[in-house]
Amino acid sequence: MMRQFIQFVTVMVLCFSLSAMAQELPSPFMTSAFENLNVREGPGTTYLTAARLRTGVQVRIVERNSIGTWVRVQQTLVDGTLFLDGWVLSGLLTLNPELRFSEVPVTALPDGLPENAESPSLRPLYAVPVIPAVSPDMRAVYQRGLEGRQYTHVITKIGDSVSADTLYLTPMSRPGADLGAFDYLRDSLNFFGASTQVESVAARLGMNSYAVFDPMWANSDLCQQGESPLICELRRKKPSVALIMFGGNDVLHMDDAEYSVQIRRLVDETLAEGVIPVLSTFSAHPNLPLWGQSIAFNTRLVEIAAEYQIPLINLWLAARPLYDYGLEADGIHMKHWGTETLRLDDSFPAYSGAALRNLLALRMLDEIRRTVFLDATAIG
Amino acid sequence: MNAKMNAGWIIGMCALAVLLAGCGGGEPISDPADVAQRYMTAKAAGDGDTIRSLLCAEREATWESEAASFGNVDARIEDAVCTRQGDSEIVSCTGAIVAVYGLDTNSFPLASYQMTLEDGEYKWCGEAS
Repeated sequence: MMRQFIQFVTVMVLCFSLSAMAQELPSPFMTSAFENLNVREGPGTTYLTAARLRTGVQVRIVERNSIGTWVRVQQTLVDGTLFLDGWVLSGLLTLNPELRFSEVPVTALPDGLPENAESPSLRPLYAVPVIPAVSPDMRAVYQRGLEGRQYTHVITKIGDSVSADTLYLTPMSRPGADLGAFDYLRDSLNFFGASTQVESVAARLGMNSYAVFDPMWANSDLCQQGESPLICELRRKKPSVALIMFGGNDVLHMDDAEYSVQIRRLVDETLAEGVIPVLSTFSAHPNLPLWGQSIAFNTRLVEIAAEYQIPLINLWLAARPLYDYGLEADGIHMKHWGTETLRLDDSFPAYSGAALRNLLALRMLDEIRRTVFLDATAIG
Repeated sequence: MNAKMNAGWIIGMCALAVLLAGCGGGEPISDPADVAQRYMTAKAAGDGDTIRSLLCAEREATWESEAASFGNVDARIEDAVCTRQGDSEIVSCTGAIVAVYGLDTNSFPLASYQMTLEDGEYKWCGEAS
């Protein structure tokens, strides 16, 4: 009897010790803010502020948006009472290095609430997600591309200096990428990354949505006589996806009707080649003179993407919470993060517009790979 | 009297000769090399009116694109020399459009262009194939 009692006590002590040890190990979901933050009712700046999260207070991550740029955090008191519950920008938190967003549930809440937009003209831009679901129509485009001997794992970029920037997409091809908590993007990085090493002849400094059709802007060493930069790029690289962004420069020299015509032409010619065009809104600063025009341009992009059922990255919306909207002082180019490799760890996407843009591009490619390429492979 | 009549006759004939010379005799007024150079200069400057006036009918619809192509940069034409290739409608140009964007400068070399004669005027009709 005494021996059984001693065994019972030993087991209890052991269990208690293991439990205490487990509690001492920090959960990867536990985090804290490194500056005082507004806690919002949903994953975006149009949601109301529900509370403040003070620096250093420990909270638990319980949910995220479809990307991982916003997370829902909770603070529970010792007695188990829920004290704080709301959404913050993940890049403003000190994340545990063991945190994996693949293990965090994804919310069904939308990225923006148009009804809470600062002005009616902004509503269309808050109504579309940062990363959309890909239309089934894109499978037909992909299949057509395969018949034209397109390479599934090859992507390209088309745009002005904001896209020609060697820190846009190209870092995906370099060793030493750190995805941080965005582990779920690893397969897509491995799948597409190498193709970003090859320079695009359709992304150049000073190029606009007219020049991309002008043979004079084509690289005469790589392109055929009379060939536009766009067609040259699609012919020589045979990509499955083209990430397209014009606007930040175009807004200085054309109106939204002209811009719309050019973007439609870009989409038409890209689709005709069996390449999935991915449009992107562009970030803009409300204090700059062309803010209204930038909103009009971005709204045209949203309309065109909806009309053609093509993917649109809503960079404008994703960059809203960033300091200076993720832009350099010129209000056009995305703020850099100071390294040649892809860095999504250490809050880079919250401070660098360029890092955020790479994250969104990779997330969009991940969506296309999983819902178009893998499905098409399964069907085939 | 006769001398006066002769002088009048001579003056009249001279006036007629001047008038006939003014009619032009069907020769093209424009020089294709000059048109090509003016066209490329207008393109660098984004001069839509000149571009429109020098574009061939087949490409008239593209005048806005042509005028706006260098709209995002400070562009100028440098060392442009255009020469007609024999009696053909092809003009070869050397020199370049130099475009400055921020701190970067890019050079866009001029090429050979197809010219077409329309209503006695040479028009620019794209790169020669």
